Amino acid sequence: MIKTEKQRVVTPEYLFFEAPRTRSYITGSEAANEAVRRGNVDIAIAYPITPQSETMQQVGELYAEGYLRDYYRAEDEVGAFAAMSGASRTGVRCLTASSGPGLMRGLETVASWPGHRLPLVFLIMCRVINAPLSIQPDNLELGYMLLTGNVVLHAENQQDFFDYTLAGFVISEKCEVTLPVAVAVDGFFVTHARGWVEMPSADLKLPARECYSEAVPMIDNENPPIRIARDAPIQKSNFISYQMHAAWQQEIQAALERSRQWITRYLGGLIEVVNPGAETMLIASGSAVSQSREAVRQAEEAGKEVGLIKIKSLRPFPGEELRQACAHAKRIIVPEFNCIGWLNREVRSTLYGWVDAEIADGPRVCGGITMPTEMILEWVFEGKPL
Amino acid sequence: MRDFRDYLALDRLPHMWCAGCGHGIVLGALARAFSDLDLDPSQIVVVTGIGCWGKADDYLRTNALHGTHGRALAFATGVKGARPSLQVVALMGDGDGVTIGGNHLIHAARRNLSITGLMVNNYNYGMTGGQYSATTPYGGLTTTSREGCPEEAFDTCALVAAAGAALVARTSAYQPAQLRALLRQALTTPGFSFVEVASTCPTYFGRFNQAPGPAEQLKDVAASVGSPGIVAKRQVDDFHARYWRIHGKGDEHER
Repeated sequence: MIKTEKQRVVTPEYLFFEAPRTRSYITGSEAANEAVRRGNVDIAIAYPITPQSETMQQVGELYAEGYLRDYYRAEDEVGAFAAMSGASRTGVRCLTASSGPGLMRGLETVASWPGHRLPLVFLIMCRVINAPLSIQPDNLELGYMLLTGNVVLHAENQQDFFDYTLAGFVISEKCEVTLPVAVAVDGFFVTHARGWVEMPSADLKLPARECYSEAVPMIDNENPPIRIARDAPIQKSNFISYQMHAAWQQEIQAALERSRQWITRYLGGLIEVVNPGAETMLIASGSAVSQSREAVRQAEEAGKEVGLIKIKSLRPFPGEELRQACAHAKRIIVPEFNCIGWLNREVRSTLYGWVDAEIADGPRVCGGITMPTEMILEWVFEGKPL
Repeated sequence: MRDFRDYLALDRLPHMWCAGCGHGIVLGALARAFSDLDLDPSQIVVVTGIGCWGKADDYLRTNALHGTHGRALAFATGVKGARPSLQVVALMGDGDGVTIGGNHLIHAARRNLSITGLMVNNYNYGMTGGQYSATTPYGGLTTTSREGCPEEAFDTCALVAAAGAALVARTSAYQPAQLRALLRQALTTPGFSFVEVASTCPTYFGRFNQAPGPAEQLKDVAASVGSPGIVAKRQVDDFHARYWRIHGKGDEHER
């Protein structure tokens, strides 16, 4: 008898909101694996390593314990992510993980998942991708993920990583979504560090994937959607083919929009706001949120109220929520763990013409450097260049 | 007993391949091999990549996945891994199969999942304009080697055999009866089976390098194969036999 068969299937609502939880002091990688343990996952496929974490090695342990049906190792990330496409198309619940350069190597396939309408969960443990070589945390690769059509969630800490991963399976497989869900976390700061995580019993698990209730049926040679996918209309150069492709892409964007209701339901919203009335607002995602929380506390001690907007979902992006939360703001600061400032660009394009606030062009750290709270406070108090 | 036409989407014919192209012959042989084995079309998954031959699934009444360039075998690995009972066939060209997809090819052979790889080798990237590939022979004229290809070609069958495939065979589009028989054998061999079919590209490689006219070019490619037939065969436990033995799962795997 394999262990997963001893687990009791419960509804996502019960698992997420009603089941009693106990606290454990575990690493981010362990938190992700505890989510997989309760996720009723059929198959995990990975390139053997994710240098930024031991997540997939721990998935191997879960497989040995009987919590996954199958576990495969591919020859590289392109092979792993392409195999995920094939596996998901057969209707099973799939998981993979990668980081930094591995993600970039497999990006070709990651960008094709939404077009194939493949439900799956992709864990990203962010690390440096640009030379000089480094395995330190830096979330530059998320700037690329924003362009792929995947749902992209960014976890702040170990608790988020557990919750978002488990919710990711459910959101991904909702009929009106039917898209891959990427759950990103900053490497080392979260994957290797311990934090308190509240989890329901490991004797509980999600219901199995119901592949025939999704927007695009699984492998079935009589089903028209598969024929559309196989006919690859883009290979024909005529007006109809352009329209078909455009309609398909628009539907992916629409599906992303429809995921908002489920992100709101299972994650409690696309954003979290601290001190909503403050004139100075920090906007951050991932580990930068934790540093910003501390900066907010220290600012309060110094007599200045500073607000914080935690962005949980990068795709879909919480545009309307940000506009409302920043309506009164006079100064906006966007701390980031990457050199290009992809979140800053998102914030600027979202708020342009909607708010009067000045949006500062930083602060940023990269290459694995952590962001001292003093650095954020400098931008708050000393007004670094806008 | 199903007729080979039962595996073809006849309403989609004629196909889009160039006049004189060998792909239609190979497609016919594949459909006949399916028919010979009376395979259930609903249990066949044909996986294709990008290229002229990657359009073959349009004309088959089986399940199909159209993947990205060079990744047909990687997609197929996921299908077979998740649903081992399905008959999985990866259709590749030489650019797709052994050039951009070379890494997946050798690992598919090493891994020995029971997948059949059918690689049609027309010695160049035909669909994208006749550029040279990893099977273009030394000195071959293509649109990216106007004075001759400076690289040596892969002996793909030797490569796949060395990587450990259960069955490796080679023939040409000039020998459709033999191709049909080899495909029958490949489709029933446990482990990774690989069939290379030398074929014509009258629009590019053939026009630049071979005798004038598609019929003569078919003879040219047949001659280039040398001795067609089985190149290598080894008795292997396929991936799942080994996988289930190691993990002690037995028959409980399928659900």
